[in-house]
Amino acid sequence: MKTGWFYPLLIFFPLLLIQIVVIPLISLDGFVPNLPLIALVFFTLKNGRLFGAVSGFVYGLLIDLIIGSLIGSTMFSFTAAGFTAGLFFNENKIENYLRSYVFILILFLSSLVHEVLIFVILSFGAEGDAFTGIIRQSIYASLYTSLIGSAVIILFPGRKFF
Amino acid sequence: MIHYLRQIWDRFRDFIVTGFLLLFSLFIITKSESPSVNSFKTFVFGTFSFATSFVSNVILMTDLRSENEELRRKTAELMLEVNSLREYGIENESYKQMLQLKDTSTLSLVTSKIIAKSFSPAQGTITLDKGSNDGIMVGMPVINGNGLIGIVHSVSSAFSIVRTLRNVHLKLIIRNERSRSEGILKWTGEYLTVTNLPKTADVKHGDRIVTSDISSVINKPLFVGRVAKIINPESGYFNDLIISPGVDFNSIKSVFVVKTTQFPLNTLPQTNERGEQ
Repeated sequence: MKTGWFYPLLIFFPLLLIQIVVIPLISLDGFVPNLPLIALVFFTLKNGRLFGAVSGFVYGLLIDLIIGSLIGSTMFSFTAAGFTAGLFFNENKIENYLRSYVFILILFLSSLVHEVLIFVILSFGAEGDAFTGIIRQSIYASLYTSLIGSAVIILFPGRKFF
Repeated sequence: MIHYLRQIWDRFRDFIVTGFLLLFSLFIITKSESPSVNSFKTFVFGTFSFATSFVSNVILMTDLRSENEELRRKTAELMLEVNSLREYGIENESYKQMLQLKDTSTLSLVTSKIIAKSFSPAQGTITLDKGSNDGIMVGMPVINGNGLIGIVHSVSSAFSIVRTLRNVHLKLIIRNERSRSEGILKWTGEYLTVTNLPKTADVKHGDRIVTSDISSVINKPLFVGRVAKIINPESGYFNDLIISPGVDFNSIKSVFVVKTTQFPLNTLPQTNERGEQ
Protein backbone atom coordinates (compact mmCIF):
# COMPACT_ATOMS: atom_id res chain seq x y z
CA MET A 1 0.00 0.00 0.00
CA LYS A 2 1.39 3.39 -0.99
CA THR A 3 1.90 5.96 1.76
CA GLY A 4 1.84 9.26 -0.14
CA TRP A 5 4.27 12.12 0.42
CA PHE A 6 3.12 13.65 3.68
CA TYR A 7 3.64 10.76 6.11
CA PRO A 8 7.33 10.14 5.24
CA LEU A 9 8.05 13.84 5.69
CA LEU A 10 6.19 13.93 8.99
CA ILE A 11 8.11 10.98 10.40
CA PHE A 12 11.44 12.42 9.25
CA PHE A 13 11.80 15.09 11.96
CA PRO A 14 11.37 12.88 15.03
CA LEU A 15 13.63 10.31 13.37
CA LEU A 16 16.33 12.90 12.75
CA LEU A 17 16.03 14.07 16.34
CA ILE A 18 16.57 10.51 17.57
CA GLN A 19 19.39 10.09 15.09
CA ILE A 20 21.44 13.06 16.24
CA VAL A 21 20.71 12.86 19.97
CA VAL A 22 20.10 9.23 20.92
CA ILE A 23 21.80 7.14 18.26
CA PRO A 24 25.34 8.42 19.03
CA LEU A 25 24.97 6.61 22.38
CA ILE A 26 25.07 3.28 20.52
CA SER A 27 27.92 4.17 18.17
CA LEU A 28 30.50 1.49 17.50
CA ASP A 29 33.94 2.99 16.91
CA GLY A 30 32.33 6.12 15.48
CA PHE A 31 29.88 4.25 13.24
CA VAL A 32 26.18 4.82 13.77
CA PRO A 33 23.14 3.36 12.04
CA ASN A 34 21.37 5.77 9.71
CA LEU A 35 17.69 5.97 10.72
CA PRO A 36 16.57 8.46 8.03
CA LEU A 37 18.06 6.13 5.42
CA ILE A 38 16.17 3.16 6.86
CA ALA A 39 12.95 5.20 6.63
CA LEU A 40 13.81 6.32 3.10
CA VAL A 41 14.33 2.75 1.89
CA PHE A 42 11.18 1.57 3.67
CA PHE A 43 8.98 4.24 2.08
CA THR A 44 10.66 3.90 -1.31
CA LEU A 45 9.89 0.19 -1.44
CA LYS A 46 6.26 1.13 -0.86
CA ASN A 47 6.11 4.01 -3.36
CA GLY A 48 8.62 3.55 -6.18
CA ARG A 49 11.86 4.97 -7.49
CA LEU A 50 10.66 8.49 -8.34
CA PHE A 51 9.42 8.77 -4.79
CA GLY A 52 12.78 7.43 -3.58
CA ALA A 53 14.78 9.98 -5.53
CA VAL A 54 12.63 12.97 -4.58
CA SER A 55 12.32 11.94 -0.91
CA GLY A 56 16.05 11.27 -0.79
CA PHE A 57 16.66 14.74 -2.15
CA VAL A 58 14.39 16.38 0.44
CA TYR A 59 15.73 14.25 3.32
CA GLY A 60 19.29 15.02 2.23
CA LEU A 61 18.63 18.75 1.99
CA LEU A 62 17.17 18.85 5.49
CA ILE A 63 20.02 16.77 6.92
CA ASP A 64 22.65 19.00 5.32
CA LEU A 65 20.97 22.10 6.68
CA ILE A 66 20.40 20.74 10.16
CA ILE A 67 23.69 18.97 10.91
CA GLY A 68 25.82 21.55 9.13
CA SER A 69 27.64 19.28 6.72
CA LEU A 70 28.66 20.38 3.24
CA ILE A 71 25.34 21.40 1.75
CA GLY A 72 24.49 19.26 -1.25
CA SER A 73 26.55 16.26 -0.15
CA THR A 74 23.80 14.32 1.62
CA MET A 75 21.29 15.61 -0.96
CA PHE A 76 23.32 13.90 -3.65
CA SER A 77 23.99 10.66 -1.78
CA PHE A 78 20.42 10.28 -0.46
CA THR A 79 18.94 10.97 -3.91
CA ALA A 80 21.12 8.21 -5.35
CA ALA A 81 20.38 5.88 -2.43
CA GLY A 82 16.62 6.47 -2.71
CA PHE A 83 16.71 5.82 -6.43
CA THR A 84 18.74 2.64 -5.88
CA ALA A 85 16.15 1.35 -3.42
CA GLY A 86 13.41 2.33 -5.90
CA LEU A 87 14.92 0.08 -8.55
CA PHE A 88 13.62 -2.86 -6.50
CA PHE A 89 10.09 -1.48 -6.32
CA ASN A 90 7.49 -3.98 -7.40
CA GLU A 91 3.87 -3.26 -6.56
CA ASN A 92 3.08 -6.96 -6.25
CA LYS A 93 5.96 -7.75 -3.92
CA ILE A 94 5.92 -4.81 -1.49
CA GLU A 95 4.76 -6.86 1.46
CA ASN A 96 7.12 -9.74 0.66
CA TYR A 97 10.12 -7.45 0.54
CA LEU A 98 9.28 -5.64 3.76
CA ARG A 99 8.72 -8.88 5.63
CA SER A 100 11.86 -10.70 4.61
CA TYR A 101 15.64 -10.52 4.48
CA VAL A 102 15.28 -8.89 1.03
CA PHE A 103 14.63 -5.60 2.83
CA ILE A 104 17.98 -5.90 4.63
CA LEU A 105 19.79 -6.60 1.37
CA ILE A 106 18.18 -3.60 -0.36
CA LEU A 107 18.91 -1.45 2.69
CA PHE A 108 22.54 -2.58 2.69
CA LEU A 109 22.92 -1.76 -1.00
CA SER A 110 21.29 1.67 -0.66
CA SER A 111 23.34 2.43 2.44
CA LEU A 112 26.52 1.43 0.59
CA VAL A 113 25.62 3.78 -2.27
CA HIS A 114 25.01 6.60 0.22
CA GLU A 115 28.16 6.01 2.26
CA VAL A 116 30.46 5.61 -0.75
CA LEU A 117 29.11 8.73 -2.43
CA ILE A 118 29.27 10.89 0.67
CA PHE A 119 32.81 9.71 1.43
CA VAL A 120 33.87 10.45 -2.13
CA ILE A 121 32.29 13.92 -2.07
CA LEU A 122 33.62 14.85 1.36
CA SER A 123 37.06 13.27 0.85
CA PHE A 124 37.51 14.87 -2.55
CA GLY A 125 41.08 16.06 -2.72
CA ALA A 126 42.19 14.05 0.31
CA GLU A 127 45.55 12.38 -0.18
CA GLY A 128 46.63 8.90 0.77
CA ASP A 129 45.04 5.54 0.27
CA ALA A 130 41.54 6.97 0.33
CA PHE A 131 39.94 4.21 -1.74
CA THR A 132 40.56 1.43 0.79
CA GLY A 133 39.34 3.66 3.60
CA ILE A 134 36.20 4.62 1.71
CA ILE A 135 35.26 1.04 0.95
CA ARG A 136 36.05 -0.25 4.43
CA GLN A 137 34.23 2.51 6.30
CA SER A 138 31.27 2.40 3.93
CA ILE A 139 30.86 -1.33 4.45
CA TYR A 140 31.05 -1.02 8.25
CA ALA A 141 28.53 1.82 8.32
CA SER A 142 26.18 -0.02 5.93
CA LEU A 143 26.38 -3.25 7.92
CA TYR A 144 25.43 -1.43 11.10
CA THR A 145 22.55 0.38 9.39
CA SER A 146 21.31 -2.94 7.93
CA LEU A 147 21.55 -4.61 11.32
CA ILE A 148 19.39 -1.95 12.95
CA GLY A 149 17.14 -1.92 9.88
CA SER A 150 16.34 -5.57 10.45
CA ALA A 151 14.07 -4.29 13.22
CA VAL A 152 11.67 -3.26 10.45
CA ILE A 153 11.17 -6.91 9.52
CA ILE A 154 10.71 -7.88 13.14
CA LEU A 155 8.18 -5.11 13.74
CA PHE A 156 6.37 -5.58 10.42
CA PRO A 157 3.13 -7.56 10.84
CA GLY A 158 3.11 -11.09 9.40
CA ARG A 159 6.87 -11.31 9.05
CA LYS A 160 8.67 -14.26 7.45
CA PHE A 161 12.40 -13.71 7.73
CA PHE A 162 13.38 -16.22 5.01
CA MET B 1 7.51 16.17 -31.97
CA ILE B 2 5.54 16.91 -28.81
CA HIS B 3 4.14 13.40 -28.91
CA TYR B 4 7.66 12.02 -29.24
CA LEU B 5 8.91 14.10 -26.29
CA ARG B 6 5.93 13.02 -24.26
CA GLN B 7 6.77 9.39 -24.99
CA ILE B 8 10.35 9.92 -23.84
CA TRP B 9 9.13 11.69 -20.70
CA ASP B 10 6.66 8.91 -19.89
CA ARG B 11 9.27 6.25 -20.40
CA PHE B 12 12.25 7.88 -18.70
CA ARG B 13 10.58 10.25 -16.27
CA ASP B 14 12.17 8.69 -13.17
CA PHE B 15 15.64 8.79 -14.68
CA ILE B 16 15.25 12.37 -15.96
CA VAL B 17 14.00 13.67 -12.59
CA THR B 18 16.69 11.76 -10.67
CA GLY B 19 19.39 13.01 -13.04
CA PHE B 20 18.16 16.57 -12.60
CA LEU B 21 18.13 16.24 -8.80
CA LEU B 22 21.66 14.80 -8.80
CA LEU B 23 22.93 17.61 -11.01
CA PHE B 24 21.17 20.18 -8.87
CA SER B 25 22.81 18.69 -5.75
CA LEU B 26 26.22 19.00 -7.37
CA PHE B 27 25.44 22.59 -8.30
CA ILE B 28 24.46 23.30 -4.68
CA ILE B 29 27.76 21.80 -3.50
CA THR B 30 29.63 24.35 -5.60
CA LYS B 31 27.62 27.13 -3.93
CA SER B 32 27.82 25.67 -0.42
CA GLU B 33 30.27 28.21 0.97
CA SER B 34 28.50 31.29 -0.37
CA PRO B 35 27.34 33.76 2.32
CA SER B 36 23.64 33.52 1.43
CA VAL B 37 23.63 29.71 1.61
CA ASN B 38 25.57 29.83 4.88
CA SER B 39 23.20 32.30 6.49
CA PHE B 40 20.21 30.16 5.46
CA LYS B 41 21.95 27.08 6.85
CA THR B 42 22.67 28.91 10.10
CA PHE B 43 19.01 29.89 10.39
CA VAL B 44 17.78 26.30 9.83
CA PHE B 45 20.22 24.58 12.16
CA GLY B 46 19.64 27.27 14.78
CA THR B 47 15.89 26.64 14.66
CA PHE B 48 16.11 22.85 14.77
CA SER B 49 18.77 22.96 17.48
CA PHE B 50 16.20 24.19 20.01
CA ALA B 51 14.41 20.82 19.70
CA THR B 52 17.74 18.97 19.72
CA SER B 53 18.86 20.85 22.78
CA PHE B 54 15.69 20.02 24.69
CA VAL B 55 15.87 16.28 23.99
CA SER B 56 19.60 16.25 24.58
CA ASN B 57 19.19 17.86 28.00
CA VAL B 58 16.65 15.23 29.05
CA ILE B 59 18.97 12.42 28.02
CA LEU B 60 22.08 13.99 29.51
CA MET B 61 20.38 14.28 32.91
CA THR B 62 20.53 10.50 33.25
CA ASP B 63 24.18 10.51 32.37
CA LEU B 64 25.25 13.17 34.84
CA ARG B 65 26.06 10.87 37.75
CA SER B 66 28.72 8.87 35.92
CA GLU B 67 30.10 12.04 34.39
CA ASN B 68 30.41 13.64 37.84
CA GLU B 69 32.41 10.69 39.08
CA GLU B 70 34.70 10.91 36.11
CA LEU B 71 35.12 14.67 36.64
CA ARG B 72 36.05 14.17 40.30
CA ARG B 73 38.75 11.72 39.30
CA LYS B 74 39.96 14.11 36.62
CA THR B 75 40.05 17.01 39.09
CA ALA B 76 42.27 15.04 41.42
CA GLU B 77 44.62 14.17 38.58
CA LEU B 78 44.72 17.77 37.42
CA MET B 79 45.41 19.00 40.94
CA LEU B 80 48.52 16.83 41.03
CA GLU B 81 49.54 18.10 37.61
CA VAL B 82 48.95 21.74 38.60
CA ASN B 83 51.18 21.33 41.63
CA SER B 84 54.06 20.17 39.52
CA LEU B 85 53.41 22.84 36.86
CA ARG B 86 53.25 25.60 39.48
CA GLU B 87 56.91 25.19 40.17
CA TYR B 88 57.70 25.50 36.49
CA GLY B 89 55.43 28.55 36.36
CA ILE B 90 57.33 30.32 39.12
CA GLU B 91 60.58 29.50 37.39
CA ASN B 92 59.18 30.70 34.06
CA GLU B 93 57.94 33.95 35.61
CA SER B 94 61.39 34.79 36.84
CA TYR B 95 62.86 34.12 33.40
CA LYS B 96 60.20 36.37 31.85
CA GLN B 97 61.06 39.16 34.24
CA MET B 98 64.69 38.71 33.38
CA LEU B 99 63.85 38.99 29.67
CA GLN B 100 61.25 41.75 30.30
CA LEU B 101 58.55 39.86 28.38
CA LYS B 102 54.85 40.45 28.87
CA ASP B 103 52.31 37.65 28.81
CA THR B 104 49.90 38.82 26.12
CA SER B 105 47.59 35.81 26.08
CA THR B 106 43.98 36.49 27.00
CA LEU B 107 42.58 32.99 26.92
CA SER B 108 39.17 32.39 28.38
CA LEU B 109 36.98 29.34 28.11
CA VAL B 110 33.26 28.97 27.43
CA THR B 111 31.77 25.69 28.64
CA SER B 112 29.42 24.06 26.19
CA LYS B 113 27.49 20.84 25.72
CA ILE B 114 27.35 18.82 22.54
CA ILE B 115 23.72 18.53 21.53
CA ALA B 116 24.18 16.77 18.20
CA LYS B 117 26.79 14.88 16.21
CA SER B 118 26.95 14.20 12.49
CA PHE B 119 26.02 10.63 11.72
CA SER B 120 28.27 9.75 8.85
CA PRO B 121 31.92 9.17 9.79
CA ALA B 122 32.97 11.35 6.86
CA GLN B 123 31.11 14.47 8.00
CA GLY B 124 32.91 15.21 11.28
CA THR B 125 30.77 17.97 12.75
CA ILE B 126 29.25 18.56 16.18
CA THR B 127 26.61 21.07 17.30
CA LEU B 128 27.18 23.04 20.52
CA ASP B 129 24.55 24.65 22.74
CA LYS B 130 26.34 28.02 22.75
CA GLY B 131 26.32 30.64 20.02
CA SER B 132 27.06 34.27 19.28
CA ASN B 133 25.06 35.35 22.36
CA ASP B 134 27.79 33.72 24.46
CA GLY B 135 30.59 35.32 22.49
CA ILE B 136 31.27 32.31 20.26
CA MET B 137 32.51 33.24 16.83
CA VAL B 138 33.71 31.47 13.73
CA GLY B 139 37.31 30.29 13.92
CA MET B 140 37.52 29.72 17.68
CA PRO B 141 39.20 26.47 18.73
CA VAL B 142 37.23 23.89 20.71
CA ILE B 143 38.96 21.71 23.29
CA ASN B 144 38.36 19.41 26.22
CA GLY B 145 40.66 18.11 28.93
CA ASN B 146 42.29 15.70 26.48
CA GLY B 147 43.16 18.17 23.73
CA LEU B 148 41.96 19.92 20.61
CA ILE B 149 38.58 18.84 19.22
CA GLY B 150 38.05 21.20 16.30
CA ILE B 151 37.19 24.70 15.16
CA VAL B 152 33.91 26.59 15.17
CA HIS B 153 32.63 26.67 11.61
CA SER B 154 29.27 28.42 11.79
CA VAL B 155 27.38 30.23 14.51
CA SER B 156 23.76 31.15 15.16
CA SER B 157 22.60 33.23 18.12
CA ALA B 158 22.25 30.24 20.47
CA PHE B 159 24.09 27.36 18.77
CA SER B 160 27.23 26.69 16.80
CA ILE B 161 28.61 24.00 14.53
CA VAL B 162 32.16 22.78 14.96
CA ARG B 163 34.30 21.04 12.38
CA THR B 164 36.17 18.38 14.34
CA LEU B 165 39.62 17.04 13.54
CA ARG B 166 37.72 14.23 11.83
CA ASN B 167 36.52 16.56 9.09
CA VAL B 168 38.40 16.25 5.82
CA HIS B 169 38.14 19.98 5.19
CA LEU B 170 39.98 20.96 8.36
CA LYS B 171 43.73 21.39 7.95
CA LEU B 172 46.01 22.80 10.64
CA ILE B 173 49.67 23.55 11.03
CA ILE B 174 51.03 21.52 13.92
CA ARG B 175 54.35 21.12 15.67
CA ASN B 176 56.23 18.25 17.23
CA GLU B 177 56.56 19.51 20.79
CA ARG B 178 59.94 17.85 21.34
CA SER B 179 61.77 18.50 18.09
CA ARG B 180 59.82 21.63 16.98
CA SER B 181 59.42 20.24 13.44
CA GLU B 182 56.22 21.36 11.71
CA GLY B 183 53.75 19.79 9.32
CA ILE B 184 50.15 19.92 8.17
CA LEU B 185 47.54 17.95 10.08
CA LYS B 186 44.51 16.57 8.28
CA TRP B 187 41.93 13.80 8.38
CA THR B 188 42.13 11.41 5.43
CA GLY B 189 38.73 9.89 6.07
CA GLU B 190 40.30 7.08 8.06
CA TYR B 191 43.34 8.46 9.90
CA LEU B 192 44.57 11.70 11.38
CA THR B 193 47.81 12.33 9.53
CA VAL B 194 50.63 14.84 9.36
CA THR B 195 52.02 15.37 5.90
CA ASN B 196 54.85 17.38 4.38
CA LEU B 197 57.22 16.52 7.20
CA PRO B 198 60.81 16.53 5.85
CA LYS B 199 62.60 13.18 6.06
CA THR B 200 65.32 14.94 8.04
CA ALA B 201 62.82 15.96 10.77
CA ASP B 202 63.42 14.40 14.16
CA VAL B 203 60.28 12.40 14.97
CA LYS B 204 59.87 9.49 17.35
CA HIS B 205 56.99 7.19 18.10
CA GLY B 206 54.94 8.68 20.96
CA ASP B 207 56.04 12.31 20.40
CA ARG B 208 53.45 14.90 21.48
CA ILE B 209 51.86 16.88 18.63
CA VAL B 210 50.54 20.38 19.39
CA THR B 211 49.17 23.20 17.27
CA SER B 212 51.83 25.54 15.97
CA ASP B 213 52.16 29.18 16.95
CA ILE B 214 52.66 30.10 13.28
CA SER B 215 49.13 28.87 12.52
CA SER B 216 46.78 31.59 11.34
CA VAL B 217 43.85 29.86 13.08
CA ILE B 218 45.25 28.53 16.37
CA ASN B 219 48.44 30.22 17.48
CA LYS B 220 48.48 28.61 20.91
CA PRO B 221 50.10 25.22 21.51
CA LEU B 222 47.02 23.05 22.05
CA PHE B 223 47.60 19.33 22.44
CA VAL B 224 46.38 17.32 19.44
CA GLY B 225 47.72 13.80 19.96
CA ARG B 226 50.75 11.53 19.82
CA VAL B 227 52.68 10.03 16.94
CA ALA B 228 51.32 6.52 16.45
CA LYS B 229 53.10 5.52 13.27
CA ILE B 230 55.80 6.95 11.00
CA ILE B 231 55.26 6.27 7.31
CA ASN B 232 58.60 6.50 5.58
CA PRO B 233 58.17 6.13 1.82
CA GLU B 234 61.31 5.16 -0.12
CA SER B 235 60.92 7.99 -2.61
CA GLY B 236 60.25 11.70 -2.07
CA TYR B 237 61.49 14.22 0.47
CA PHE B 238 58.72 13.90 3.03
CA ASN B 239 57.49 11.51 5.69
CA ASP B 240 53.89 11.10 6.80
CA LEU B 241 52.80 10.48 10.36
CA ILE B 242 49.70 8.82 11.71
CA ILE B 243 48.52 10.61 14.85
CA SER B 244 46.60 9.03 17.67
CA PRO B 245 44.31 11.91 18.81
CA GLY B 246 44.20 12.79 22.49
CA VAL B 247 40.43 13.18 22.30
CA ASP B 248 38.10 10.22 22.06
CA PHE B 249 35.63 11.67 19.56
CA ASN B 250 33.06 8.95 20.20
CA SER B 251 32.62 9.75 23.87
CA ILE B 252 32.86 13.55 24.12
CA LYS B 253 29.80 15.20 25.64
CA SER B 254 30.93 18.61 26.80
CA VAL B 255 33.65 20.90 25.51
CA PHE B 256 35.29 24.29 26.00
CA VAL B 257 35.41 26.97 23.37
CA VAL B 258 38.64 28.96 23.64
CA LYS B 259 38.18 32.71 23.38
CA THR B 260 41.27 34.76 22.72
CA THR B 261 41.87 38.26 21.46
CA GLN B 262 43.22 36.85 18.22
CA PHE B 263 39.95 35.10 17.51
CA PRO B 264 37.50 35.24 15.97
CA LEU B 265 38.01 35.23 12.28
CA ASN B 266 35.39 37.56 10.96
CA THR B 267 34.75 35.47 7.90
CA LEU B 268 34.51 31.75 7.30
CA PRO B 269 37.88 30.02 7.48
CA GLN B 270 39.83 30.60 4.29
CA THR B 271 42.60 28.41 3.00
CA ASN B 272 45.99 30.10 3.10
CA GLU B 273 48.99 29.40 0.92
CA ARG B 274 50.00 26.42 3.08
CA GLY B 275 46.65 24.78 2.52
CA GLU B 276 45.63 25.47 6.11
CA GLN B 277 42.22 26.82 7.04
